[in-house]
Amino acid sequence: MRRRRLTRPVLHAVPVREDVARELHHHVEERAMELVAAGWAPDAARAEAERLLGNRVAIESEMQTIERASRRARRRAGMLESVLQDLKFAGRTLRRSPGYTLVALLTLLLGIGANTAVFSVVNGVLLRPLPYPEPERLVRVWEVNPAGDRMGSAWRNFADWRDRAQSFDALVAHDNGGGTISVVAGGVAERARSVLVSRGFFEVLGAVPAVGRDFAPEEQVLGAAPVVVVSHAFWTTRLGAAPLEGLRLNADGLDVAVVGVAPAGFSYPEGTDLWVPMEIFEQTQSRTAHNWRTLGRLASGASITQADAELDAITASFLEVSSAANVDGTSAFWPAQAEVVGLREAMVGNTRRALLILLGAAGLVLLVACTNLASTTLARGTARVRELAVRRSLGAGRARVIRQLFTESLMLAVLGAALGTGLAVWLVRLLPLLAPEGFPRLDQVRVDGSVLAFTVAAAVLTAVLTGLLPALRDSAGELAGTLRSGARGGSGRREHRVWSGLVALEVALALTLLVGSGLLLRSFWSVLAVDPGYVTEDVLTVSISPPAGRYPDGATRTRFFQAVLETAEAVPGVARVGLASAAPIAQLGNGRVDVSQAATPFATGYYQLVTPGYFDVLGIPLVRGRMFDGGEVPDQPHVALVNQAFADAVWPGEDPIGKRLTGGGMDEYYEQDRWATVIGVVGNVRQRALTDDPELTYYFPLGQRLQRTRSMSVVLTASAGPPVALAPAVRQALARVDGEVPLGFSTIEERLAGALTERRFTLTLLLGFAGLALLLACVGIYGVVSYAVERRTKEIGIRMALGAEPVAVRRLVRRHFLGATAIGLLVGGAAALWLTRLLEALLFGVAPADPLTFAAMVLVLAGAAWTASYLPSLRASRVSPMETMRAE
Amino acid sequence: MTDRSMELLKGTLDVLILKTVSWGPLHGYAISRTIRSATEEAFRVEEGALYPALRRLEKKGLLKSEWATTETGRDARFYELTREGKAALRRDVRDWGRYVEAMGRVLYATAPAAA
Repeated sequence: MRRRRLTRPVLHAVPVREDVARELHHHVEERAMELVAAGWAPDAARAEAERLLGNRVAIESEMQTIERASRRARRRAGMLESVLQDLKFAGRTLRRSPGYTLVALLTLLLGIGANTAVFSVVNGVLLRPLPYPEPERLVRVWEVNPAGDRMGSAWRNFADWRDRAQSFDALVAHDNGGGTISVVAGGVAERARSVLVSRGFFEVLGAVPAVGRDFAPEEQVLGAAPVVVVSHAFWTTRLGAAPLEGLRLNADGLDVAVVGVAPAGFSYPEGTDLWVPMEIFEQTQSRTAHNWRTLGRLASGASITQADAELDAITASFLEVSSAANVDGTSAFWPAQAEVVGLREAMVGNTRRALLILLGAAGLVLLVACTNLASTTLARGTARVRELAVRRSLGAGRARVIRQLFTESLMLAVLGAALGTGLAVWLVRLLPLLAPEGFPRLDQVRVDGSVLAFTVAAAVLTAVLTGLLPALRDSAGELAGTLRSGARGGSGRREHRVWSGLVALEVALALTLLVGSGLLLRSFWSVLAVDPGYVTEDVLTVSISPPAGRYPDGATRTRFFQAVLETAEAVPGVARVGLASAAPIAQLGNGRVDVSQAATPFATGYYQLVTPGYFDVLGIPLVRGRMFDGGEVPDQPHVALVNQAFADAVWPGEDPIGKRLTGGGMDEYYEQDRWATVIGVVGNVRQRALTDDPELTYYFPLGQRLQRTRSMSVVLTASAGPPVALAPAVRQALARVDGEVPLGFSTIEERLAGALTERRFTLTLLLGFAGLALLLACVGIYGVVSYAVERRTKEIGIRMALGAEPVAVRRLVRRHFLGATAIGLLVGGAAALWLTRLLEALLFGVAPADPLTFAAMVLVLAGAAWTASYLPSLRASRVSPMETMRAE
Repeated sequence: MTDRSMELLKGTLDVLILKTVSWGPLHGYAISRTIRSATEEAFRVEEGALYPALRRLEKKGLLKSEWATTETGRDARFYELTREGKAALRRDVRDWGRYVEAMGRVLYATAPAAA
């Protein structure tokens, strides 16, 4: 049987119902005709044909069901097939231009990798909930002085909060765990970090001991025999996971029983080895001794605001119950208010700002990468205009072409994201090496589901940004004109505008990052250039904390430290030795100091107990008066030194020599009203941080004023060579004084570097991002100019044939892009001016709008852009006129 | 149609259709007429049963169809074998041959089979 096809397939155009009905109708009609031919009357034939067909309604409904299912299946298969086709085609296209693909993948690898890495840190540190039950109810509480500064809690104030506040299920106090103690277990003395905690500490954090038990109530009373709970890590590594039955250790000279092991991974405050009930020690009743940290669990339904208001009210009542005399002069330490902050926020603290800035910077890098890819893809699209026009003329719809181009971008983005994730995993593993000490919640940083979700989002965004614009543009090109003219690209002018816009955007983004990192770099230099007021090289420091058990009071500790001094001085090779309460960089005790003959009879200052050798070793000059002689004893008239800042602040324009002072709450002689006479003034020292102003400091000689604080630091220099080489000999010698005292060796340089690691961390990352952005921008400009040259080869050839100079040709192809760079610099400069205000808290010694930084970075970027556009323009000026003409 | 005409065995209609269209594209009525005449109306089929069977074979991918105009100027749905359809037909023909041969050996045997 022959047939003629209808002009176009109508299978899918005919609705199922009609399709089925028509087929059966055709059958009946033909059948009736056959019967008529056999001699039936027409009407009877039709009726017979219907009868022979059978139950028409049932047949139709069965056919419709099958047909519908059949059409659905075909549609799905068709879709899958076209997607596969797109993918295959995209893969082939990318393989055909390996240069482009490689650059694009590298760009995406870096852009997405940087973002994934930074986001995994942000996620772990800022977003992931704390690993405690109902973490949103955990808070930290500070006292706030009248000036609005946060302070720790005094025990009495904490106790009042705990007893009176209704907004909390529980409030507990713990100390900052700053002090390391010596722990002797199995005959070996080691340093361990112990924290004193008040009743209910583990319950508040929802920690149930993995082995043993929590403290019993009778172990949490004054004078009870000391017991400890140890961390899981301490128990396994130092105690060999021994059974707790009868397990004892010597902690800080005290014989203690181990009653429990904290759950694995539990470490609050971070790095704690031992928890000790604080109730066994007597607590001062002072309302200004801010020695404790307060941790609370909000009652269910209570908000932070409510809790804050309630504690404010309780805190305000402290002032009323206290005499005015007590308040007088200590207002800087007086609790005026309370501040309640979510625990996670409190732990993250200042790191938050730096991390968000880094995340923003990584985002900018990704934008540069996208812009870069978009411009390269556009340029390629121009070269592909003919290919696409052919595809469209062969019947591919516009949507189909857009989908095809978008598939290419998506494929690149997905590959880039996969590689980037690999990079991020590697970087995150490296993080513990790079991150500054004390970086909060580092253990929470990993590449997990939410990080991968972020990466996927970044990849899709990248595909949209890099693929959609070129796809829309390329697919729009009118067919006939392109095919006829044999043009290599669309209309030049509009083309240039889009490219130039992208170049300008890239330059602007890169400049913003460059300026930001430039400002941080200058800050870093400024910090390094700060004069700390002491020698930073070739000084060895040894921090020493004699155990409280064997050195219970000031007198025994003084004798111990004098022995340490004499022993260290006797070590061969040691040139000079000094002792101080704390060597820089370190915290110092501070408090109220009463002063004579001053405008106000008291001041706030930091104090140090020292031997004369300390100034000698650190090169702190004696500005006037005389130095301690080292032989001071308690029975003589007491003497003191002050630093220049102290003298200037307390006795401005007067001679401080002969004035008198007595230290505040930290000093045992204050209560006895024993005043010390100032005998000299020494140079200023930046003791706690290089970025702070020199502290007001006063010094007492070791041996005369006994102190309550327990640890001191030895500083020493060698007669030849670096003093670090003396560390083993010093350790041996000091072990002869007392073998169970833990020693912490370091150098001033290390301590300074340690104080700079956070700044260095942020700076390094931001510099990396800025460098990346600069590189990407250059690659982008290079690529765009290259394509421009390639596209205009013919025109250039003609111009050269007509006698154009190479210089003029080079200028011709670069003109637009240099103009775009200039616009980008302007826009980027404005954006940077606006954005760098966010950096202000991280800056030191440089203004956010520092003209030098801006100028330098504009020059760097302009130079880079000039070079990136110059190289491809060289090719333009080497075009051979004859060859180009022949090629057409 | 005689009284002794057999009920069409289940599943045999599919083979008959595939074989019928193996000569070239046919519309439903032509297929039905060809089967009728080739089997000399030995099979009694409700003629409408052919159409769901055609659609089912198309859904399985053994047939493909297209609306076209017949030589008498009517619109009809033409079916033809796909590649899968041709393979299925070859398989079915082979199976039928074996079946018939096996049945024949039993039904036309002149002596009982050796035990």
